[in-house]
Amino acid sequence: MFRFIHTADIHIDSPLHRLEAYDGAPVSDIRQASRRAFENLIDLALSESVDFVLIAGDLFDGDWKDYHTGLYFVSQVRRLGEAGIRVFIVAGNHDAAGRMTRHLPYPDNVHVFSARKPETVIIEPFKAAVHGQSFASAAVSDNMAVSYPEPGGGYFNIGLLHTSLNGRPGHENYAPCTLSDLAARGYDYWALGHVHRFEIADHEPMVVFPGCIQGRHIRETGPKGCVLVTVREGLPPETVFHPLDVIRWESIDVDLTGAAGPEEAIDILKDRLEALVVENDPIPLIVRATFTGKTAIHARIAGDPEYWRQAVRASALSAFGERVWMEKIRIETQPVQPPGPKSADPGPLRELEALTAAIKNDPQVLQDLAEELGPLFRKLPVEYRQDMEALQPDDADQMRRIIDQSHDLLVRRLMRAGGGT
Amino acid sequence: MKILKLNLIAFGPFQDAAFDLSGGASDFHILFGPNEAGKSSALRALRNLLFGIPVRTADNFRHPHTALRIGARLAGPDGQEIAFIRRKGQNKTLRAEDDRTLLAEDALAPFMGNIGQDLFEQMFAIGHDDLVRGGQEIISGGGRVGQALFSAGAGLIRLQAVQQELTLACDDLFKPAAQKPRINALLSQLQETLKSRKDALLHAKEWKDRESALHETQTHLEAIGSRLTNLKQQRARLERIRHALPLMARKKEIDHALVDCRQAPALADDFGRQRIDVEQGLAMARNDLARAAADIEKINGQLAALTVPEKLLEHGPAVSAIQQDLGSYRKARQDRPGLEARMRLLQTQAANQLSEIGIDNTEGKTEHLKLPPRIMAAIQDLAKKYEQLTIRLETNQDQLDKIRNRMAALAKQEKALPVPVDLTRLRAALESAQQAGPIEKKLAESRRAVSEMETRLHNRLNRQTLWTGDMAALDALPLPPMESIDYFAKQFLDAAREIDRQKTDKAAIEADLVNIDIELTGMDLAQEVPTEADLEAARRRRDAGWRLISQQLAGHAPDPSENREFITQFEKAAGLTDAFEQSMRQADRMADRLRQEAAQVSRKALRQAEKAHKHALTDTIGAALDAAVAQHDALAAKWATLWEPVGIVPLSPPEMRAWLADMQTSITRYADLRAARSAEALMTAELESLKILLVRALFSHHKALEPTRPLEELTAAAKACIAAGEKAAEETATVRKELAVLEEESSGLTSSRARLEQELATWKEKWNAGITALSLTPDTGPGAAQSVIDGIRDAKKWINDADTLRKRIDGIDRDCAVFIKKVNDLKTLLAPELDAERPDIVAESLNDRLAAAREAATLRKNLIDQLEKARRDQADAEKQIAENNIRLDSLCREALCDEPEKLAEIEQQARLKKQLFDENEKNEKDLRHLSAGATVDDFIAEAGSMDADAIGPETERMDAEINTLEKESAALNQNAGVLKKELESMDGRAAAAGYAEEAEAVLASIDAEVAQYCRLKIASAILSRTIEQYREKYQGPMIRRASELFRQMTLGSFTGIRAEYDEKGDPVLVGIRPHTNEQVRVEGMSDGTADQLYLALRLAGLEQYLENSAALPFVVDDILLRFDDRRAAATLNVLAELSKKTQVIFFTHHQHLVDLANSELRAVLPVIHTMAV
Repeated sequence: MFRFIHTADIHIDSPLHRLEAYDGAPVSDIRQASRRAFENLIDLALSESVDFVLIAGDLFDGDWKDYHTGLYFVSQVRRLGEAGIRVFIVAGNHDAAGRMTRHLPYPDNVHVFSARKPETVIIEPFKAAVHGQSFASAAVSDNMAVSYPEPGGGYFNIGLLHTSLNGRPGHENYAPCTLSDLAARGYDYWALGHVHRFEIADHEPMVVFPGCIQGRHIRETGPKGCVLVTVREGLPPETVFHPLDVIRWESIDVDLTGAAGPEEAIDILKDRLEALVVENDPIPLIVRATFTGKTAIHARIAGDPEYWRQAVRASALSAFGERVWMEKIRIETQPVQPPGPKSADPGPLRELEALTAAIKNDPQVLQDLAEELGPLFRKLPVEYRQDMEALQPDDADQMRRIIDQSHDLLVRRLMRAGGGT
Repeated sequence: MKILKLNLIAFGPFQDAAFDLSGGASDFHILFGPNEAGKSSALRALRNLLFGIPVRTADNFRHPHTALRIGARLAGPDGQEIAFIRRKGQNKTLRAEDDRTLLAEDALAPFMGNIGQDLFEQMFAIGHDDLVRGGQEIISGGGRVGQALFSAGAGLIRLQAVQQELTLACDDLFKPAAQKPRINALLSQLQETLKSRKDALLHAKEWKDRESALHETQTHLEAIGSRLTNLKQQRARLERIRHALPLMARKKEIDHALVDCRQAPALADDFGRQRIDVEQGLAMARNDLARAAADIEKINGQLAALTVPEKLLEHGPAVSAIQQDLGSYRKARQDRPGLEARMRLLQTQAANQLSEIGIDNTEGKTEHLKLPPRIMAAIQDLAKKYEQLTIRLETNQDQLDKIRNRMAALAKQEKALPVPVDLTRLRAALESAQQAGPIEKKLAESRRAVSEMETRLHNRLNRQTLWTGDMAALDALPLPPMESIDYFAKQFLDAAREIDRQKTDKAAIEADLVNIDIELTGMDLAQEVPTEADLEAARRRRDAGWRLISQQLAGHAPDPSENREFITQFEKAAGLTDAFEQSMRQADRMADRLRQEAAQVSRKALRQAEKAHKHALTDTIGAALDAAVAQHDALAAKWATLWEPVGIVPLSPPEMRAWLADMQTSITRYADLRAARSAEALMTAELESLKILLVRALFSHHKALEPTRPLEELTAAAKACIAAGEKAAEETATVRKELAVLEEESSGLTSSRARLEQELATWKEKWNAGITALSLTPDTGPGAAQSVIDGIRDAKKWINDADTLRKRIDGIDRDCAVFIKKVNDLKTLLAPELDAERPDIVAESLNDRLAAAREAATLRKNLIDQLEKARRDQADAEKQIAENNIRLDSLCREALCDEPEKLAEIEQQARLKKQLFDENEKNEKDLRHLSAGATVDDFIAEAGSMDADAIGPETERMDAEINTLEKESAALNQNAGVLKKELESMDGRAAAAGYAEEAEAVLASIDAEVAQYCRLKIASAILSRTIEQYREKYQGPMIRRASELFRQMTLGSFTGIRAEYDEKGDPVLVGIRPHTNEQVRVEGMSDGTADQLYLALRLAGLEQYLENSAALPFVVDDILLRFDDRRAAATLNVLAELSKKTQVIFFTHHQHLVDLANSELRAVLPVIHTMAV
């Protein structure tokens, strides 16, 4: 019997994306979250006394050039070396081009597979054979699996491969292959990397994506960790998922239908958060809340989104303290008032509504408005544009959403400023 | 929508205040609240009616939250109506008129035309403040047309403020060339963070460069290290050789010196010391021998010269003995004359003393000088006794004198005191008065209580109005018992119940009758139900017609009058045929209906029968009711009879029950009053008797007081009188008591004096007896007797002392004789030549001679001892010499020599040989050390092969090289240290990663702020565009209408308004003056005029709205406050005109506006409602 850990996509030192700090947010929990999660991995390997660790690519982040990161990795795997635990690494699309993976001063217990051709390492005491090949460049479009070595007779054969298999949404299609390609190799276990979500793609043989070990943005929600594999003579390998993340991303829709006032809306949100906190205890959460539904308070919250954002953060803070970090608050609620037949009245507010509706469909006006925002966007640095969610004036859909928000904001302010006895 | 009725059921100060807004001359309603509270509450009620009562309302001060209700009836745009009640609550606040049936929350929606509260208040409500602010807004906006139209059209007042807010908020977020706005600041922060991140980055090359540099340096260091080791080894070898060279030279010298002393024997280490020991020992022994021989010779000579007197020594003890007695002998001889003189003096003294006393003692007899102790003791006792007796007699006399004086004084005092009197009667009177207590006070209280009781009872009787008798008549009042009243009460109750029951029955039947009538009327109204009689009549009519027809058919012309009569029965009948046709149809229809409505008919019949029955029943019940009333009246008569004896007309039994109870209480009170009165009389009598007793008793003590004085004064006088009598009696008793005591003491003292005089006589007898025994005359007093006795005692003592001295003198004489004999005996034997000398001289001389003889004997003994010691020394020295000679021989043998004189030389050679050997050995050891492992011989051979002069320069060269290499090594080590430190700092730290995280956080903040900025910026843009677009669309019609309204409201001081372009080319509003057509910019208008301009625009906007949309009531709250009466009237006219298009509800609390409306409005008359709280 022997046991090993299968992990991938560690992206050490890649920061959590676009996370705004605010007073009371659990800042200390996210500081170097990828390192803390990686240390959890090392601790798990040591406490479980596994026999070896497989890293299926993207150990380092492609954009990240700090050699400190590599040295940090070396210092951690040295701990495994001291416990006699070997480490096998293939480079993935992110760390293929970087010099880090192949040229670090690794201790003896680390083996990095060659990028030139597939290799096999025999681990005689356990009768195990690990086959692997690193990415030679960032974008590999060849089917690498088909050229992996023949399985060793009498050995437990493991294929270590960075691939998107037959494609996964949100992931570049690198080293594509099919499950039958993998099955055809005759291996016992395919340790894959690249896809950031834990998935057992097949059971005969086992084809496993362990996912990344720490979510870094809102598209990487839920628990993240590694797979602990136990191999017993004559039995199929057993896999157990172990969460390693130190803070967890969650995105929730909060339906405010029927909420009569802001307090009620906050209560609905708190109930949702409470359930999440309990479910993920004791891991702190980064939560994006999208408010939906038809509600009487639509005008109030859509009309003053800044105020609503502060209110939501303050109440999450008071209810859950450092357990919850409100990442973003999106308001997609709708007014309760039935659309009904509107009067043909030419009142100024109706005029405003009509004009708002009209400009959303007028490319020329959209462009004019974008131009008004030009002085700001020309000042914004390239880093700003790197986030796909970041507002861009040339994105018509985004502009339409902003125009709707502006309209709500305007109506709220005009009403507040209105007369009447 | 129109409000038909507004009912403030329970709201604010109102309770069921209803306003009918449906009727009247017009839809212009003025709601006049005489006070501010009423008006504003009603205004709020109107608003809350339509949009709900807010959670926190101040209108609950009269009615609790749950009771708040506003009712209304509304008419919708399509003529539909709704009546409802609005209550306070979270939901389900709409109810139907019954306040129970729930209405849907959106039940009002069809009436409100999709207008929410906010919009309603902006469009359809205007107050004075709004008007003022609207006017100011127009002025501050410079009259810009777009803004003015837009804000008037929507009822907005702070449009400019909103525009400014948006601009300011944008500027707070971002400005293209600034540092402070939030986004600018964040961008700077981002730049700094990115720079920090870049600075913190470690490039792989940096680390590798240092690592290989370190490796290189370490290799170089190792090479230098091995060269240094080699050099140092060589240098050390040369150094050893250099140190070995002098050692090798010395080795040669030693080898040479050893040749000379090779034969010397090996001697023990202490050989030298032993040799010197022996030689010195020999010399000393020879010396000792010579000295001993000299001593012996000398001592023998001294002995020969010495002589010792043996005979003297033989009697030595006797000579010593007399020498010892010599001192005593000489002392006694010296003392004897003094002793004899003292003896004679004592004898003379004693004789003189005795002769003084009168005793002749010339013969020296002493028998009669004896003083027997028994008599002496008795005489001394008697002397003491005499003294005591004398003192006691004197004391007795003193006391007796004092007592007699005091007795005389007391007798005088007694005579001066008053005579005692009898107080018994007075005391008895006082005691009675005191036992009676504060009787006067009690009496006063009792009187007050009685009068109070009287007053109360009197008032009590006056309070009841039925009976008018005096209090004294109470006891005799013939009141009926309570049971009788109870009996009547029950009877009355039964009678009343019977009447009620009959009345109820009657009412029920009457109600039934009404119902039946209603039903019957209903049946008739619905459609007169035909009766059989009706059918019969119709048929008869038809038959009549048929008769006429058949007559006609038969060719007989019917009777024209009959014919006409028949035809006229049917409306619009053209002729007989037509009439008959109708009659036939009527009869048929009647028959049909009778058949069809048989049920209805029978029901009607049934109801009619029921009605008849009920009427009959009514009569019966009427009779029963009359009987019950009669019975009641009879009972009332009996009731009155019951009270006749008392003389009153009774009220109802329950009332009389209360009255009776009250009267009984009064009777009890009257009994109490009488008891109190008699108690008071008793008390008065007692007081009088007490006073009389006291007055009489006092009179007997010569105190005359009137009995009318208060008891308290009388008792005080009695007390004073008693106190005075008691005091006098007490003083007399005291004096008499003391006199008796003194009398007794005086007689005691007199008898003790007699006893003392008796004792003195007895003493005299005893004294005389004792004194005679001492041969003294009987009249000798105790003092004289004592001095004779003392004289005899002294004389006796002196005689005894003289005898003692005599005996000592005799002893001295005896001792002298013995001493002289012993001296003379020894003189004869030992020193006859001293025959002539005094014995004491002889004794001394003999003693001196004995001392000299003893000295000579001692000297001789010493000399003999010395001689013996010298002889022993001689023998010892000889023995020493022999022993040392033997040791000397032994040393010679060890040194292998025959002659002791040569021993020293041999010894020196042996020591030299040993030194050389030792040095040689050390030398070899050092060499072996320097040879560093090689044998000494090899080393010497190797060293010998070296050129000794080359060693110095070679070492110096090596030192120089070592120095250079060491410096180089230190520099390299330092370099390696720096590199190591640098590599250590490249420890995988997360500084750069930390900055990357910070940058992400800053970017996230930028994201949020950018979005907000875009919202605000676009909002501002949209608003400007909307204002402009609105102006373009509605400028023409709105300004036209507003111009007309403005002209009306300003009473023609402006002919209107129009749009003109200002300096910047923006369209602005201007007022136009009549005649001159002068343009007046809004800045030039008065506040009131600006208000009117704003109102004109508002009304124009409202009319614009009403053209295309459903109307809602226009609610106006006292907007005319700043208008003068004429303009106010003009404006009221405008509002009245507006009421033709939509309902106008004008709230005011100013009477003059109401009056103005009444007097000035012509075309449209307002409906005035006054709100009464």
